[in-house]
Amino acid sequence: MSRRLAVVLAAAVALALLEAGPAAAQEAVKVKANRTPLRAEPTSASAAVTFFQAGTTLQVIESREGWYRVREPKTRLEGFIMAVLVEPLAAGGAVKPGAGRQVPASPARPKAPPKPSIGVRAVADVGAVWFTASESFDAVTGSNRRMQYGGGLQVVNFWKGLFAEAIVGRSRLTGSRVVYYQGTTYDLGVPTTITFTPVDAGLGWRVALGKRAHSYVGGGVTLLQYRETSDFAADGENVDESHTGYYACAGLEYSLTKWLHLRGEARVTSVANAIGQAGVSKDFEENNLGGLGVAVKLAIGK
Amino acid sequence: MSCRLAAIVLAVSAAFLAGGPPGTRLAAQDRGVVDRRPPPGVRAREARAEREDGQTGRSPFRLSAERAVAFARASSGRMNWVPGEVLVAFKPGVSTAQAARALSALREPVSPRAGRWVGEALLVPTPGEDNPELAAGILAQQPEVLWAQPNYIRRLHAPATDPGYGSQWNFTLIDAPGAWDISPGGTSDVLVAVVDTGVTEVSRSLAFRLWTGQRLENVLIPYAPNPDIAQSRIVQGRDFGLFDSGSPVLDMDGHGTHVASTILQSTNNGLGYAGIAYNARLLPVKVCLSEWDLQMILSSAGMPGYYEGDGACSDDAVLAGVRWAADQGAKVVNLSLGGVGALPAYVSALRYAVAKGAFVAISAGNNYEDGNEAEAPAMYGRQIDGVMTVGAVGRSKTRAYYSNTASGVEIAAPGGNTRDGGRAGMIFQYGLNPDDSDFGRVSKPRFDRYTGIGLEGTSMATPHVAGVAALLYSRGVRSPGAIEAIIKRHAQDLGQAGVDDEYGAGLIDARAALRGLGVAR
Repeated sequence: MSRRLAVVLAAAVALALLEAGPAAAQEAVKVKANRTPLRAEPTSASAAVTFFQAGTTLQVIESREGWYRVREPKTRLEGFIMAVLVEPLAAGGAVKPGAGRQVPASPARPKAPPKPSIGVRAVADVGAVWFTASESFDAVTGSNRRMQYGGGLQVVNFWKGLFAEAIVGRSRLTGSRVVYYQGTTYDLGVPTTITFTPVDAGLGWRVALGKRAHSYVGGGVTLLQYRETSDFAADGENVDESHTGYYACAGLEYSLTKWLHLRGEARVTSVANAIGQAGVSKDFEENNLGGLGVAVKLAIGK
Repeated sequence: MSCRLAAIVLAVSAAFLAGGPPGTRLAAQDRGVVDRRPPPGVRAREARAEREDGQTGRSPFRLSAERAVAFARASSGRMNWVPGEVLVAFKPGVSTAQAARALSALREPVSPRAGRWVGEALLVPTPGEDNPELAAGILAQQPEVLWAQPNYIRRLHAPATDPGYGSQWNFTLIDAPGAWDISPGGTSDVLVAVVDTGVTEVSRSLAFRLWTGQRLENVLIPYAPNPDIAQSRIVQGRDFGLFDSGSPVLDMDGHGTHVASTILQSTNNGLGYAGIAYNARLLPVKVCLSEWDLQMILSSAGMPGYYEGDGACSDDAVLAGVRWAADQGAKVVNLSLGGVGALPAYVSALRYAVAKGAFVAISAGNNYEDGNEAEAPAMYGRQIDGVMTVGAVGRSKTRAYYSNTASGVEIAAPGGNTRDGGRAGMIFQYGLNPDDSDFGRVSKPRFDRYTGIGLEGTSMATPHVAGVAALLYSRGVRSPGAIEAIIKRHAQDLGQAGVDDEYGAGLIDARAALRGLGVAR
């Protein structure tokens, strides 16, 4: 499970980073010296298409291993020019050659978007988690999922698309203690209450999909307080334990207003080796208190 | 007065005769094939089994005087079998004629019709060969025969001791109070069969001819049920030992009553002692005969003198009793008896009971200091899910000095141990007052007065397991195998880590078993 989660998380983060590419600025360069050749191919052996005078402004279309593919804005003439023969038109506008990065053409250097300010949001969430240890919980509670309610804080825009969040949740289930024998579960009628109190803390990356929408991925650590109490328990027979696990999530965010944001999220949580030593979880050979969940989050703040 | 007694004897005899079954013939024999599968053939055979060997219809007793004498001979000679009887099972498809051929190998051939079916086995007399081990050996060599064994005698696993009151430490040891918090005494839908010396189910005086030291007299003997077991919870049982069918079950030993009391004695009623599953119903099944039972048979046959021997339970009666209990819907069967000598018929009888949904608890035996040989039927417990072999511990949770370790102990329970706490270390229940029927000291016994009785033995340990099983059944665990698994899983490990021959899985924990499992613990 942990390996699957890692792959999902890595893919999601990679996707977010890839999506972040178009945010780079458009570039323009200035020819350093007179009679600088513009060539048909990115090689000195190629024939010169034309020659530029010092100070000529060129639009960079693409960079390629020490060469720029450029366009002369007035004549729309295109070709290749050695990178060392040009210089950035202004500070911060330089393009490092060789990365193979696509630079969209534009007639002039665009105006840099305003840097978004850091936002702090209060979050309320409600969701459902389908247990990894589905047979164990189904036997005791009659259900293989739990509803979770929670709340916490998000901090967004503190560096590009990165956001951080801390959410405290709570689930409560009731059932009765059982015995399991050769495929049959016998309900012994001893009332049992199970509570989950997970604290999730992690980071994520948001990508704008439009003016109001973002997609995001994230992941982090979950600290789970697990309690299982039942009637007629002797000292030490009830369970009250803390376990550590991790989670990964992905979702969509839609800003209803500047201050109100709605998120729909899918989440995978793993809290391994938390059960399975005793109880019916031992019979079912299930040891993970995590699960696969969906949640709706309402965030208030910038 | 004597006329009155005689009239009562006649009236009782007439009642027994009227209640007796017609002489059902062997259905399988009529078909000409000896069918060793259980139903429906077994049912027909067991109907015939209601009549005992040699009964002419004149005696109210199931057991003939000759057989009572054989019991006495076996008991006084410390023989483990009934002289002159063997149990024989035939291979599938063997016809009556072929069975007769096999039986003709005996020194004095007998007809299969002279025998009596007990499950898949035929109990046959061997008049020409008193030693059944020799007779069984001859029969076992016949090609038609699957197996042949002596009709072993099983003995109760508890020596009687002085009566006296004491605290029921045993219930604390298994946390019965904690179990009662969860399931207060279980429910009345659980029928528990105590296959033993019987549990008196009627309040009545019966006249018997008895040797009173100098002559044979008609003696009026009063019987009464245990006042600490509500009569509304006693289901009409069956006597496979003393009387023919239709007669009430009478305990003339106290062992069966003590065992039944541990399982389901009325509790919180201000009387006597507590029982574990005190709402369960009781099915008394009498398969063991006390000295008084045998004395009555001999005296009624006009034989002067006292019976010299111990009580005993023959395999044929035990096998029939187990099957009958299962047929009546018993969901828990207690077998606090056993003896050395294997008998494969027990496997099929026990499987039959389990298949009918009955959990069976069997005492491991008390012969640890007397050879510690494996005993039957305890030795079959480990083979069958839903049948548990029970060893005994004392107050300090250590194996009782007598508790057998060779029979395949699966679970331990308090059986009492006078070497571990003296008299207070015994298991106390409200039972028959032994002073009223002390064989050898009392000539005119009575079985209608009850008091606190302390006993020790694996016989006393076994009903603890049966009682907890009854509570589990009340909570909806209807599978004998599941009951066994739960009891084992929640046992308190004793002795060597894990399962061992002294304690099996450990000491039974009633509360833990009733509480079951959560997700994590």
